[in-house]
Amino acid sequence: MSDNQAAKSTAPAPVESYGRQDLVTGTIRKLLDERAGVVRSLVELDVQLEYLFYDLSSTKDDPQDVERYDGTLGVTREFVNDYERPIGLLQWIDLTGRFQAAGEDQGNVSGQRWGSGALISDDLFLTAGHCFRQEFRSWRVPERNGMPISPAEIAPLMCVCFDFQIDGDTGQTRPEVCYPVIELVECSPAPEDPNSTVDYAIVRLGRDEKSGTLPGKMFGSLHVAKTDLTVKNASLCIIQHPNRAEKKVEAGHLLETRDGRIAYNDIGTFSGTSGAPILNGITGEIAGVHIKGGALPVGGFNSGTAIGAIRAKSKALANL
Amino acid sequence: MYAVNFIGLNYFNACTVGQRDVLTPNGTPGSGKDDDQVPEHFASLFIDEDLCADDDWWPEQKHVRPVRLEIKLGEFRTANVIEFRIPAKPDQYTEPVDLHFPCRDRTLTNLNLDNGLPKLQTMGFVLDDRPDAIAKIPLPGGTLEVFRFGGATLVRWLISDHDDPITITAHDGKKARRVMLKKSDGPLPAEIVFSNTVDLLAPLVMPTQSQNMGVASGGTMPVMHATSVAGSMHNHGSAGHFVLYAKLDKDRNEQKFESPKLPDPMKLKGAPFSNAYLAYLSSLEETPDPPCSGGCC
Repeated sequence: MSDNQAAKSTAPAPVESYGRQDLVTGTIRKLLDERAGVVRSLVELDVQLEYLFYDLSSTKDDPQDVERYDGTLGVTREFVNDYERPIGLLQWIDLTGRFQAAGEDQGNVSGQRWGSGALISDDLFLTAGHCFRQEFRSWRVPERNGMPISPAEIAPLMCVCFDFQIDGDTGQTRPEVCYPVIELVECSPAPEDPNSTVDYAIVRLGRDEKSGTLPGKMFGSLHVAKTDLTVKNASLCIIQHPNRAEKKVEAGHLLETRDGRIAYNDIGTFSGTSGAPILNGITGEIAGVHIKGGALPVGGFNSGTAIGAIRAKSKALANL
Repeated sequence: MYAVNFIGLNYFNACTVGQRDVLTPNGTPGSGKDDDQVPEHFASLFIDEDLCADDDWWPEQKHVRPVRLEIKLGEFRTANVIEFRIPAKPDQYTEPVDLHFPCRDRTLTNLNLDNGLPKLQTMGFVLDDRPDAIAKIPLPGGTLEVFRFGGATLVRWLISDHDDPITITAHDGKKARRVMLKKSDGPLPAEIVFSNTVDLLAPLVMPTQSQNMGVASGGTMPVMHATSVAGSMHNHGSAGHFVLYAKLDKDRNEQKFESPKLPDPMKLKGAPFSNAYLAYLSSLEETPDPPCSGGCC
């Protein structure tokens, strides 16, 4: 080995400038990657937080038993006490033994609790027209010769029960008092006009079997407003039989009234609320009839038929 | 994070050690001894079209279903939802489709299924070794919670840790089919609906119009007329479609399921969701739903 060669082999290797740059840029890249990862995690955390807040907001449906109402939903306890009694449950009667003839079929609705509604006179009960529809996705009304029976024939196969509610003192369900539906007085949409957006029905109720009295004599009746309620955020109250259960109260505010319909998005309604009266939360007058759900934590609204549209069609209301 | 929302008839088999899956009773006709007793049910994924990136699903089982949502009174928008149907089984002995959702979580948390869903075992249900299920969905981890949805229930499976993009695969023993979602950039995580119900998007036709049966709905697929759905149904009283759980039962005894005692859905929190299909279903008229609830072991 020459001296030159020995000197070369023992001298410290010079730090190559490109190597140091590489090291620094590599570190920067790594830190940027870590930063991007943290940002991604933050975004994901934000999404999760957003979702959990959204999840929490889904608890807003809070109907209360009418006799145990604590007065916190937006109407007073006195209001509920004053107006709940004429509100009843529309129900199919027991169809056992009926529709047994050749070509007849009982369907699968026997005894089903079906909707809500309110007395507007001693014997007239206001509810939703679609409760008397002939076609449902999962139910079958009685049929004759392969065709569902008419709304006029459906109605007398129903009854209306009052007092189906939790007793505020005992916590037990009160014995209900039921009245037969004897006539479909008015119904919209009608089979000949299925696209009508005016959804309501008025049925006539018969007398109680035991006492022989008309339901209005026992439970009173509600006043029907003369005109639409149009004041945004006006107080509304829906007393209903949610999910076919005992009578409950919910309340909230008017979102909008337009084209014969009334919308609200802070009143919990459920399957079985169809037909419930939408009450003016101040006067107790019927401002509409509940028809559809749709209010979600992310938007949407529930809706009913505004009383103005019903009045425009109804002869029975004009005669009250 | 993403959510799979189960509606309709699905059996959550998550109580027995080592068994954690969902079995979907086969509601397609021709597969059981009593298949004329309940109307045809379809096991399907419903995913907002905007969320879907790509798929190679069975072409004849993929349907674009436009749903009309009312944004304000009288103002509507149409949202396209893609229905990915599980194909009908040729017979009851055919193995169910294995449906896999990406999930790296290995701990399955059951928040309230025991209280919120009916327990089939209390009705005498014994899971068959070869149940007539149309789909089987493993539940490796995540969180299960039951909510109220209308008058029935919805079970949400929330998955926090998963591969991205979310890719759902369905194996029918021959070929794996997949649906790949776009990476979610919205304020809420992706929502997928897995449903086993009658065709709830089929239009109702009044009897006076029923001469036009078979006409397309205005969407992109011909739909079954509601009358023909219901027309095949015999009377199971209030049990409705619940008897379909007999398809998973060892002795296929429908009588066990004819008078189900269902937990009160009113005691459950309302389901949180933003999926257009669920939004549509929740905006319908509020007459009662028949008992068509998810079941629990």
